[in-house]
Amino acid sequence: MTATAALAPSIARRPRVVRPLDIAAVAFLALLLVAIAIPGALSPYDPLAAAPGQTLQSPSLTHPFGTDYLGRDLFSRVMHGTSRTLLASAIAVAIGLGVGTLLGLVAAYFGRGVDAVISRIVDVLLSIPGLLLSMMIVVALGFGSINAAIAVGIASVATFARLMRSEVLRVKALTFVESSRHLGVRAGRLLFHHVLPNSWGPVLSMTTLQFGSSILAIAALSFLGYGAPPPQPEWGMLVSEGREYLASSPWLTLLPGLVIILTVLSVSRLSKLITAARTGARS
Amino acid sequence: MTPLAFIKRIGQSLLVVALTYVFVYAVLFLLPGDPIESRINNPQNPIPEDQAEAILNYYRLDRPPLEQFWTSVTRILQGDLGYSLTNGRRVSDLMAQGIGETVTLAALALVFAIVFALLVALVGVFAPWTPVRNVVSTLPTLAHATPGFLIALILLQVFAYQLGWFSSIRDEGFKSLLLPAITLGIGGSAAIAQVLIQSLTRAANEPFVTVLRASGTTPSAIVGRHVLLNGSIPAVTLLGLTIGELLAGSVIAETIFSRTGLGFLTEQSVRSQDGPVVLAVVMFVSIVFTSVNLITDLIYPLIDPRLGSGRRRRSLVTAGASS
Amino acid sequence: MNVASRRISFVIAATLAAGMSMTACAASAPAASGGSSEKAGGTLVYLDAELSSNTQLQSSGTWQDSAYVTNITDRLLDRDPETGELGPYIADTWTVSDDGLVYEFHIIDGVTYSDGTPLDAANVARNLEWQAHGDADGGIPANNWFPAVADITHDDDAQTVTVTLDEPYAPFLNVLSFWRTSLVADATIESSLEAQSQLTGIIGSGPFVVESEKYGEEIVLAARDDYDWAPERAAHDGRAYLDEVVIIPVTEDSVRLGSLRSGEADLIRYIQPSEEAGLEAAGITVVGVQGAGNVNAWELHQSAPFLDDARVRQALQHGIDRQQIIDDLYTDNWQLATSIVTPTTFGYVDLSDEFAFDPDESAALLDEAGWTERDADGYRTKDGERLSILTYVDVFDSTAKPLFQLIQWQLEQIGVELVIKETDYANYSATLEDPAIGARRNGWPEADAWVRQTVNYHSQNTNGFRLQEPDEELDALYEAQGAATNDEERAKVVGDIQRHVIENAYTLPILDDTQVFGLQPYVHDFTTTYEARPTFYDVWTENK
Repeated sequence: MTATAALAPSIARRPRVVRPLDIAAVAFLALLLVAIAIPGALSPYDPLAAAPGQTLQSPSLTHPFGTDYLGRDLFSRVMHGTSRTLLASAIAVAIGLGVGTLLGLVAAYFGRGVDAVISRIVDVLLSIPGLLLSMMIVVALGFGSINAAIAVGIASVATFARLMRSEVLRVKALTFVESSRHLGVRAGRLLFHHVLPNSWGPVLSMTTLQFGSSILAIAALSFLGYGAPPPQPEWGMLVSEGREYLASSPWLTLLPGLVIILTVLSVSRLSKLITAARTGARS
Repeated sequence: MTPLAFIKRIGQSLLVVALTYVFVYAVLFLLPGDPIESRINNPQNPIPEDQAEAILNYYRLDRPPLEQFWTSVTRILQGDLGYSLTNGRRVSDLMAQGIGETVTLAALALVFAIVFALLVALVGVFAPWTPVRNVVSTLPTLAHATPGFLIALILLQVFAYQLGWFSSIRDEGFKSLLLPAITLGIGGSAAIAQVLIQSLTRAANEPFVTVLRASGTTPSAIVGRHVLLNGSIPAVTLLGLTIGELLAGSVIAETIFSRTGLGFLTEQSVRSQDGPVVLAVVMFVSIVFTSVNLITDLIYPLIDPRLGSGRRRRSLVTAGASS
Repeated sequence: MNVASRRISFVIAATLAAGMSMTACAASAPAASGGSSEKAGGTLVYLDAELSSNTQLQSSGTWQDSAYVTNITDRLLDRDPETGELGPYIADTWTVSDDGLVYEFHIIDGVTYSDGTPLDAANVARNLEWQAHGDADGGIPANNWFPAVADITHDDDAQTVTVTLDEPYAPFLNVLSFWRTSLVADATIESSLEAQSQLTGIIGSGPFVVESEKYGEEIVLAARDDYDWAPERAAHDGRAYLDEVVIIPVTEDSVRLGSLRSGEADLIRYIQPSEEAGLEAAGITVVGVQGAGNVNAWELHQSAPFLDDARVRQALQHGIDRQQIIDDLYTDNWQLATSIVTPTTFGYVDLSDEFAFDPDESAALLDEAGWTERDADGYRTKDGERLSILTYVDVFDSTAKPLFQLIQWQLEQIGVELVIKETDYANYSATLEDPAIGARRNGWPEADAWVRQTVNYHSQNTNGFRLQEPDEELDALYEAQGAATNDEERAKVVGDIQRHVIENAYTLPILDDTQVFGLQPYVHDFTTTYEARPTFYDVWTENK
């Protein structure tokens, strides 16, 4: 529902029209699902097989994404890296979202001492450099993309917590919450059935952004040695590695980067579709 | 916030800084790597054991950990931040250089971030043409998903190499701030714009807007004074976090534009586990974030009076409710 | 030897010294070229790939710091980068006693440090004492290339310094030509470890002086007008041609290249192999320099499973296609290894035939060693175990990751699994202690490769090959090369070392370690030292 519609004289609300971009987004995500389930289906090459003599070839009919510094087909590597990347990113976002929103919710709802303690813990978390945090976690848990994802997730908890807290504070001040509490509605029910749904809007919109940036954050870590061991492909790592070849072979960075952007855009569009469908159905 | 609450809050912030220091010190101690050990075991210049003992003794690394910690703390309280273990420079000099560079960059980057975010949000929500709104509201996602180094390198390629307006390697004063500030501004504006779009849309749909419109207030006044303020809370939170992050320094922008700000210092020192520098940076960032969060918490009631102190509302509600 | 004969040999040496310095003076006059005025002046902007880290002579090891120190200091002896021959520098003549224990150096006149103090016999003696013993209270270790020194004396009148060793040490003169043994002023020796860790704390007598430094941003070196003691081998004498050298660290590869290409910089270090062609097409000169020293090799740790069998190790040697590595990952400016040391190293022997790429030979060796079965992934197995080797990506070599992956693929072709793991910079040394690790990349440019190998591979030292029982033959060879009293003897011993190491396949030689520089066409006479560090003394630029 657009804001100008709200500002203009009210018109009968129509169900949202499904636009071609929505179809494109869903199709792209379906393609990614295929890549997760059967990576080999879309590309005949072995993503790990070096092909000396065919290194750094630009995109062509035989290699739609070109080849990398060992002659490996880049498209195939991107396809095979899909599940690892999306899984790692999902973990990072789930940890950030799950732990962060819970902390923010509890802090703002119960206020006073609880708020002080949780907010100060969040402050400590913000003060620790992300790299140090990741180093701690990776050294403790071991190297690899999953653990790098956990590190990125924990580093993002603070942002989600702060955001959630500010929204819950706003909702808490709304009259219906006060009156419900006064009427004796249990805190738990109030929290999860009323406060939470009304306050997590901005947090959810942050989530789609966080999805993309966590891929890149994990990439930065793998560049420093914390991520997936070679020769396993992973989107962010492909982007990072390609950075050194940017002048002569830009496709190594740009094409995986494009795939990341398209994925994030598609997820964002899908989530908007879903919210629109939900609010449309409710009204 | 009452003066007492304010003082309590300051006290808590100091506690945070102290706790962070202790935590990071413990972590650095427990992590296996160590710049002095790396120096001794450097394959290009390995140092034999008897000589290594002299080095360890010089750095007091052969003392018990608690004693080392105590020495560290007492020195800091006297204002002595020590020397970097990797390059021997005074940590206070490194910090002064880093903070100076980062603060100027952060200030300019913040201006860009706010300007970009406001532009994108206002156009994305209120522009009269639907296609424009749709395209512009995907810009934050696009900006956030694009790797920062790519934005930076593209800016360099166009403005430094091809147009020659900037030097890519020399410090030309204010001019050298522009490209990195734009890079950071684009990245930082994404989250703020996204949240602003979302909450502006929601605020614009609330009943009070219809009332205002019915009472004859012009749309621009509605947007400017009512909707923007009411939709701003999460954006203000994000703004605070963004300020904090900018002040903590950005490694990408600093690496590519060859600046020696706090991001660069942090990465260098964490990678080699250079304790004194890491601790100094962490303390600074800690102070920044606790201050920024304190200020944002103070601002909330100014934007939305309903978030004011509990005292006013206690008189309206019986003892059953807590706030 | 007795006192009388010592005095006689001293007189002879002094006469010779006088005679040589006279001829040197006579020879140097016409050598001053007529075109030197047109070469004089200008600034060189040099972009290095890494930041200055620690310049303290005995403690540090970073490549870029060694290059900077080289240009602001001088050394007792000079070394020809092509032939490795030692020549006069701060010491114009020297003698070595027959038993190899007593070294005497004559110090030239008129040398001063940039702070005005004289570089004379007393100062040289102090420098050598400091290098030999370090400064324990100050946290400064001894120079670990120095042998045990019994005594150092100097004579102010004759301007000579005499060093007496406990035992003969063949590399000693090489060590004195190495950057780590550069001569510094008393003020530097007396300053703290922290002060010496920064380039501004190193006071030298070299052709350049540190004019200013801004950490992480730039170091400005200015030419010293009164510099007059360049080594004989140098192309000119007197002060350096350049007025200034501005060193700017630019760690981002594409920015460093872009700045060179756009003309903002005159010289850069380290070019990604894939970028060389593009730069050359844009008119940039690309120079690859192989310093003397050990080759880029993978030392094999026999503490790891399966690697104590010589046949397995030899199979690995024959399983690596070095030419393919150069063709695919590098360029003509790089070279494949032909021994365990680079060609300009003293005593180098070409043994490339011994470990040539021969997958059939590898297959035969592995079959003979009992690895005849294959598992589902195609790797060889024996008694149910897969032939697998663990390694970690080297953090000191920027071209390591692609190289390791290509070798992983090459070994897969002969049925050997290479598991590559990564760790970060700070934890690398600690992680590499794990006995399960089978291969480790090692090998860097050195003043004396054999000293480094003795430290690394002698079983009483680091035991880098992780031998379960000492290889007495190898240990004896390392000791013999150090105690050799003449070049022929030493060359023979190090030849034997190379043959022994390669026959037993203790290590997998891969490439000659190379430094690649890019220069603008208007920069001339760019030179490097024996260990491939850039020197700016003879460099001149048309761009004034």
